[in-house]
Amino acid sequence: MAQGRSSGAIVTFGVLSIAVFAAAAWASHKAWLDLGDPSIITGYVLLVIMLSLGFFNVRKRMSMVPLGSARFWLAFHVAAGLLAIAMFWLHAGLVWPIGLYERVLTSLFYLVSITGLLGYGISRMLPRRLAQTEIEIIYERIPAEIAEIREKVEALVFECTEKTGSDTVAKHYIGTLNWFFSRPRFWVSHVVGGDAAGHWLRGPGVAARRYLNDPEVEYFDQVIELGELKCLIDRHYACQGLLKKWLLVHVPLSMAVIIMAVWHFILVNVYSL
Amino acid sequence: MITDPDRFRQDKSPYERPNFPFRCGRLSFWGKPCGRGPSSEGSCGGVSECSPYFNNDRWECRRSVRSGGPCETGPLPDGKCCNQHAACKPIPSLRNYRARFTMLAAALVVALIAAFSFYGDDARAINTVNPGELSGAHSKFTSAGGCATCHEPHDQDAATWLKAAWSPGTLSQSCESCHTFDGAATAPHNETFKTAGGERQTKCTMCHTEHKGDNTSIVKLADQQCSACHEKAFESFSNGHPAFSDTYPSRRRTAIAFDHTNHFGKHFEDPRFVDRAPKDRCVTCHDAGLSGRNVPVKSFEQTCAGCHEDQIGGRELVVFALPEFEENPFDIAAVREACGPSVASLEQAGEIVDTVQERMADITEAAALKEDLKKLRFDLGMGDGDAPESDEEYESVSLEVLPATAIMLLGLEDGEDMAEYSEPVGELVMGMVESGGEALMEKVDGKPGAATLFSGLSSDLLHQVGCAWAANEEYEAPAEAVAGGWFADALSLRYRPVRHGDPVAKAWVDLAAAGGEGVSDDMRDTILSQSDGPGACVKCHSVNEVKDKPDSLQIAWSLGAVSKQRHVRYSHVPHLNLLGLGQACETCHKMDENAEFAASFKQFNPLEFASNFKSIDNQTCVGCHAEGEVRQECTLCHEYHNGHGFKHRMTEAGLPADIPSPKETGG
Repeated sequence: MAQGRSSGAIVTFGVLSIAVFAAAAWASHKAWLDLGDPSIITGYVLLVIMLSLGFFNVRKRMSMVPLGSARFWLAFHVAAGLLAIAMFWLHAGLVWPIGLYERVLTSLFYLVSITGLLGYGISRMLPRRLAQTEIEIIYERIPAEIAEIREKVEALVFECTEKTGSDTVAKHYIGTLNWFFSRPRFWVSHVVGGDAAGHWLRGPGVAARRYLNDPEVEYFDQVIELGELKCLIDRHYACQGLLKKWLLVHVPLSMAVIIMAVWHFILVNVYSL
Repeated sequence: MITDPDRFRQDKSPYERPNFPFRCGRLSFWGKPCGRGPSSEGSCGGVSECSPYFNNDRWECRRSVRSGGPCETGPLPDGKCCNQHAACKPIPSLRNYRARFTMLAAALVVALIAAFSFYGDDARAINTVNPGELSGAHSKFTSAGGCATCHEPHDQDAATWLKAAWSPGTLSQSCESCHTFDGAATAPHNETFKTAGGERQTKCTMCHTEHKGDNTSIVKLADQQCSACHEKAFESFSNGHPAFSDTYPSRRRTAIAFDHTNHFGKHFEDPRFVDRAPKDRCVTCHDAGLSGRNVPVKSFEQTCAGCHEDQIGGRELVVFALPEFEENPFDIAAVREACGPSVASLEQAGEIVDTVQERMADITEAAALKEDLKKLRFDLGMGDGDAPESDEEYESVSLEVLPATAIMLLGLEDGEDMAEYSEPVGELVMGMVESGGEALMEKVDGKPGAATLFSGLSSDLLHQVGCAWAANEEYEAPAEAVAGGWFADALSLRYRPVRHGDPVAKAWVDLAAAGGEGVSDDMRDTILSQSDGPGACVKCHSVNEVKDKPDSLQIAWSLGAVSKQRHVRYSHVPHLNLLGLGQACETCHKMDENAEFAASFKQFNPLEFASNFKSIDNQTCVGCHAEGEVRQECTLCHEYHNGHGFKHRMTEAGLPADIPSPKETGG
């Protein structure tokens, strides 16, 4: 239901963006026909769009103020971001400008656009993959969760050693499994949707099982079961981390672009208009 | 499903606050965070597990339930927690990192902008102000003056600079520091139009865009933009362009009345002249090598002279002729003094000597003898005072009338009244005797071409002619005049043109055409007559009326008058290169055999004419300049500006020091 409302908002803002773009293109073309400067119109529209895009981040900090739902703002941000790319090309008239400052500004704008598109892409793709894990976990609690799993595993290994009098499981844990349980692993595989962690667990992870007696197998299977749980947590860690960390690139670049655009706006008004 | 929802109850685990700037440092080692967490400043808050509370003289453990509740050992006697741990190093949260990166990016950009904002003032300077490289021409001469060559620097203070953002720019005015036009720079097409479009103010930046790179054209004007002012919009030249005028490309008759139809259809077909017919058709007489908007005609010597050169020298102008007198208007004594005895007077002296010898035989005629001797002395140039009285009746040697040019020179109303002209003619001839050409130069002083009218006229010739005429004798030239130039016959002073373009002949023709004081219709008719006299010039050179001077005419001496259609441009060069020389010209220029070409030169209005060629219509051009074929944009044939020029010579050394900056000019 929420997914449907989100798509509806995106479509609504998408249509609005197309309308704004068409209006700006028509107005700039009319100005061009009238020997005016079409880049003035497109420039002002682009600046307003950029500032409104930047306001998305401000809105997150002002969650106490009823400024609309996050879904609404995300849809607006996505549509306005695409509109900004189109408006940028309309404004600059070129994919790659001439001046050094304009080139730096353009480079940053393209980086912001690319990171934004990638961010939107992963925000559409990774949550589905996380839902398939059938567990929910808060990103900030993942280290504690892993620590607790590690404690449980180590407790099982101790108990196994004490009860069975064999240290095969303990040695296997120290030599192999400890690496896996010490921290999240297989980050890349989890991000791209691979199952390297599962393969590892079913390969090197269970390699010692054939050498265990029946009581040891019982403990060992519990350890592997916890390992499979950790695989799911690792997947959350990788995917949730990426969903958060791409903003470490996108937001600072956006700030740089906005500052450079404002300076560009001032310079144009001082020296050109 | 949450791994274990119960484990995260508020009494079992700390409440996660992602918006806090720091997180417990144990998380960086993938361990469990402490129950207390870091402070907002980033210091470890988990050195002790609780802060004991002093209550009823006892310290009580305050460890939270989620950390296990009060410990068994309890606080130490000094009130410190018994569970002390090594301090961790809290790690910034993701939000904190994002804020730091954002601030860093902002600071970096601001620093770079501040550092490079006004670094260098060259057009190629690396700074944030420079929006791109200038075009080749502009970058060269702005290298010395920098940005301020065109842009107002606004460099008084920061407030002035910022205020400029809301002030109208002066960029277009700066262009006028170097560029000039025949009209106002801000008027459409630099003209003052009577139509409504003329009220619109224009700016250079409407059509010209700079800072687009060295090899980029700064003019980008599309056909549709012309419709910003031109109300009659049309799709393209090949589709809807207004029709050319009925006489296009001619707007007036040619300077030279060369009848192409007559020459090609009649004269060059004549067996007598067929060998002189132009072998290469048009380019025999038109110099394709110098072609531009027009294809200029070659010189007279290279074209018409082949057939018409002999007709130049045979035309004579009678500038002055000695008229008939009833009485001798000359002071004989003065003439004798200035000229000495003439041949006639010497002959007369011989006769007197014979008479004296006869009378010496009869001394009784002493009185008569005395008178004879007095005459004798006078004839020999020895006498003083007045001439002796003569019983002979004065009989003028000339029976001529004054020519029209002489009437103009003497300022007479007509040349038939002897009583009126005797005295001024006498004075003029005596002036010729005494001062040669000065007498004549005085008569034309102030008239157009005065310095040339008597150019080359010898004062000796005038003196001899004057002496002869003053002595009531015909002038006897030492030899017959064969070559051109000034010469005199018995009773007249004449000029014969030396060659085509003779300056003296042109000066007299110009004087007659210009009219004005003293120039009678008779004189104008005489000189401009095509049948004889120097007026033969106007047989080929058209005579045109002068604007605002109804009585004046003007001779079109120059060949190949360049069209003054200011906003139309055309070059024959690419067309000739494409079509080839010779008959290819006739692809567009088709002779009109029915045109009354010669008749239009019988009147003086150059705008009433019949061209030798049929008019060129749009379709002639559309044959090539059409959609999908050769270019057809407006600016291909139309020039926007009117008389574009430069105030200063452009050099690579930069803008001359005397060019005022926009600031100095108040721009």
